[in-house]
Amino acid sequence: MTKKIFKSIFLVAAIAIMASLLITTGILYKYFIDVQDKHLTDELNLASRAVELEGKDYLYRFNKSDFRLTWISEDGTVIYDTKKDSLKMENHGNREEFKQALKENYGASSRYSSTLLEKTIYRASKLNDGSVLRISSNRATAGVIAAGMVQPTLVVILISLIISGLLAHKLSSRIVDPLNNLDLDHPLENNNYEELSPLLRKINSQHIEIRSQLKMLEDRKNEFNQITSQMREALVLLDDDEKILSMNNSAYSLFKTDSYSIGKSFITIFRNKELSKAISPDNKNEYTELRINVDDRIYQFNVSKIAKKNMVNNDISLSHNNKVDNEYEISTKDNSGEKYGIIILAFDITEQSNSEKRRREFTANVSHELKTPLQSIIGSAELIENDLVKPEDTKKFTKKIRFEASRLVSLINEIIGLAQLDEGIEPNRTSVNLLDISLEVSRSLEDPAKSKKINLYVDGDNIILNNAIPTLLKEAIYNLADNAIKYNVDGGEVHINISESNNMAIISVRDTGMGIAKNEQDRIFERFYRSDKSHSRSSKGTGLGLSIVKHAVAYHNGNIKINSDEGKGTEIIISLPNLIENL
Amino acid sequence: MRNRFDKQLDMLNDSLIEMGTMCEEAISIASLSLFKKDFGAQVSVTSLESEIYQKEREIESLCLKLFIEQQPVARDLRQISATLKIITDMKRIGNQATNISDISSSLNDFDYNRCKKIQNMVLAVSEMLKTSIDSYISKNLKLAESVIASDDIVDKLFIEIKSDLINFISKEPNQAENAIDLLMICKYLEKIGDHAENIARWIEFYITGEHKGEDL
Repeated sequence: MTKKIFKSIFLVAAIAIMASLLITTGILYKYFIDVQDKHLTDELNLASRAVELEGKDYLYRFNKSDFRLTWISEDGTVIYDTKKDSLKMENHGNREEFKQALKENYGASSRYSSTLLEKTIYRASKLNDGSVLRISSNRATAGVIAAGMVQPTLVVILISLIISGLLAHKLSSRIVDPLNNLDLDHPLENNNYEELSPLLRKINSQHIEIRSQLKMLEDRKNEFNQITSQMREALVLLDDDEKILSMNNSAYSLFKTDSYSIGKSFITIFRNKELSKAISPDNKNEYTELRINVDDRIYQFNVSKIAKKNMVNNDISLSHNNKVDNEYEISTKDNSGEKYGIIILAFDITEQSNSEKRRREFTANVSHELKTPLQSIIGSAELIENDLVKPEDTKKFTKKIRFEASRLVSLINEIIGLAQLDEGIEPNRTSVNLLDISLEVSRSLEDPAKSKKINLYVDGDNIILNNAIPTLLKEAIYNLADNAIKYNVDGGEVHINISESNNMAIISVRDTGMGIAKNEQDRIFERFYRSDKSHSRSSKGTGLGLSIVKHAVAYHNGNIKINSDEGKGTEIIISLPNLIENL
Repeated sequence: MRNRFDKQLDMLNDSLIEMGTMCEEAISIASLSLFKKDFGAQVSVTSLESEIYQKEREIESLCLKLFIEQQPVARDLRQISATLKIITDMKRIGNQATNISDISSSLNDFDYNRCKKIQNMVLAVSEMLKTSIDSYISKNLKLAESVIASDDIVDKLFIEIKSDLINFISKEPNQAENAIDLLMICKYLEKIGDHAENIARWIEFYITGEHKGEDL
C-alpha cells in the first residue's frame, strides 16, 4: 500500500518537475537569445561609428570582454582583432558574414565551436571606406544550459523523493489504519468508510451463515456421539487413507486406546492381518465379516466399505441441486478413483458362539439318545416278526423291547421336565426337610447300591429349607446320589451329608468313584454331556441328570461346587439359601 | 512439499507396522504348527514369508527414495534409517518362523506338552515382538527398554531347555533326533528374541537419537 502510494506520488512529482524545467528553459533561452542579438547589433552600430571616426584608436581602447571586434579590409585581410594578433590570423574573405556585409552592408552568421558546447554569433557591417567591422559573441547552447541545471534538478528530485516517501507513508497509514481497526466480528458497527459498507454487510451475512452452519455441524456431531457412545458394539469410522475418523466408547475399551488415536492409522491401534486385509483397498468386497479372538473373547468384525459416490448421490436427490452434481463430478475426476469410507463394527459373540456350539452338540446328542433305544426296539421287533426267535426266547426279546421303551419314556420325561424348567413354569413352593428327602432318596437307591456292593450313608442335621420345591430337590439329590453310585467302583461308598453354614443349607454328595477330569468339570452340567465320549453304554444314564440338578439349584438361587480327584472320588456340594430363619 | 513428505513418512510408518503384524502372524502360525499339529499352517507360513520379503523390498525402496528426494534431517532421518534397519530384523524373524514350522512338520510323534518351557519361550518371544511393535507405535521408550530386558529371560530359557534336552537324550536315546530338532527350534526362537531386541534398540535410537548397540 505504502509502496503503491509512494510510487504514484513520486511519479507525479517527477513529471511536474521535468515538465516545468523544460518549459522554463525553452522560454528563457529564447528570451536571452533575443536580448543578446539586440545587444550585439547595438554594440556593432556603436563600434562601426566609432571606428569610422577614430580608426584603430577606438579598437585599442575597446576592452569589453563579452565581445570581440575584428576589423577586416575589403580584400579579407584582418586589420585588427581585439582578442588575437591580427598578423597571425588567416584571410577572412570566405567568411559568410563578411561576404554578406560586402554585398548588403550588413551580415550575420553563427557557428558552433568544435566541441559544440558553444555557439559563436557573428554580426558584420560595412564601413564607409569599404572595410568591414565584425563583432562576435559566444553563447552557451541550450544543451549546456540544461546540463548545467542537472545538478540542482537532481537535488530537487531527491528532496521530492523524500517528501513523497514521507507523504506516502503517512497517507497509506491514514487510509489503512481504519481498515486494520475494523471490528470484523461485528462488521455492522464500523462506520469509517462509507464505501466499505457493502463489503461489511456481506461479511456480516456470511458471519451469520457460518455460525449457523457451525452450530448445525456441532449439533449433528453431538447427536452422533451421543448415539454411538451408548452402543455396546464397538464402532470405528475410517477415511479412505485408513485413518480413524471417529470411535465410540466401546471401541476405545475394546482396542484399549483413547481419543489420542483419532487421525492415526487403524493399524496403530489394532494389529490383525485378516482385518488389515479386509480394510485395505485391495479388498473389493463392500462387506466383510470376520471372527477374531481378542483377549480370549470372540468378536465379530463387520467391515463395510462405503463408496462416497452413493452418499453424494443421496444428497443430490434430496436437494435437486444441479450445482452439487457438477461439483461432485469435478471432485471424482480429480481423484480419478473411488473414494470411500470404512465402517468397522465389532461385537462380542463369545456367548453366542459358545451356545451355538452347545446347541449343535445337544441336537446331535438328542437324536443319538432317542435313536439308540428305538433301533434296539425295531431290531428285536423285526426278529420276532420274522419268526427268527425261538418261542422260549421271545420273552427275553419282549423284555428288551419293554426296557428300551421305558428308557425312551423316561428320557422323554426328563427332556420335558427340562423344557418346563427352561420355560420357567413355577411349581408350588413349600418348606422342605432336606434330611428327610435325602433318606427317601437313599431308600429308593438301595437296590442299585446293593448290586454294586456300595454302602450308602446319609447323615447330618434336620435342616429345613423354606420356599423350596420338594420334587426338584428330591430329584437333584436323587440324580447326584444315582451318579455317585453309577460312576463308583464296586464296594465303594457314597455319603450324603446335610449341614448348615453361613445361613446356607449345604448338601454334600461324596463318592469314592472314578472322579471327573479337571477340564470336564465345567461341562458336566450341560445336557447330554458325558465324560464317556464314545456314546457306548458302559454306564447307564441319559446325560441329563446333572443338567436337571443345575436347574434345580438355580431355581433355589443356590450354587454348586465340585471337588474331584481323578481316580479318588468326587464331592459335589450344593449351597442353598432361604433357610427358615431368614423368613 | 513438506506435506507430501509427511504423507510419505506416514505411509512408511504404517507399512512398517503392517510388516510387524505379518511377523506376529508368522510366529503364531509357527506355534500352531508346533503345538497343535496344524500343518495347513505350514503352507500359509511359507506364503506369508514371501509376503514379508515383498514388504521388505517395498519399504526399502521407499526409504531409499525418501533419502534421495527429501534428504531428511534430524527426526525424519532417524525414522527412515531406523526403519531400514528394523525391516532387516523383521525379515529374519519371518524367516526363522518359517524354519520353525518346517522342522515341526518332521516332528510327528512327539508330545510337546511335555516341554512347557518351549511353550513359555514361544510366548515370551511373541510378547517381545508385540511389545517392540507397540513401542514403535506409541514411541514409548519404556516399552522398548522392557523388550531389551526380556531378551535375557529368553536367553536363560534357552540354556535351561538345552540342559533339559541333554538329560532327555541320555534317558531316551531313541528320541535323540527329535530332541535335536527341538534344540534347533529353540535356537530359532532365541534368534527371534534377539531380532526383537534389535528392533527395540533401533526404536530406542529413533526416539532418543542414540543407538546403544549390543551389550558385549
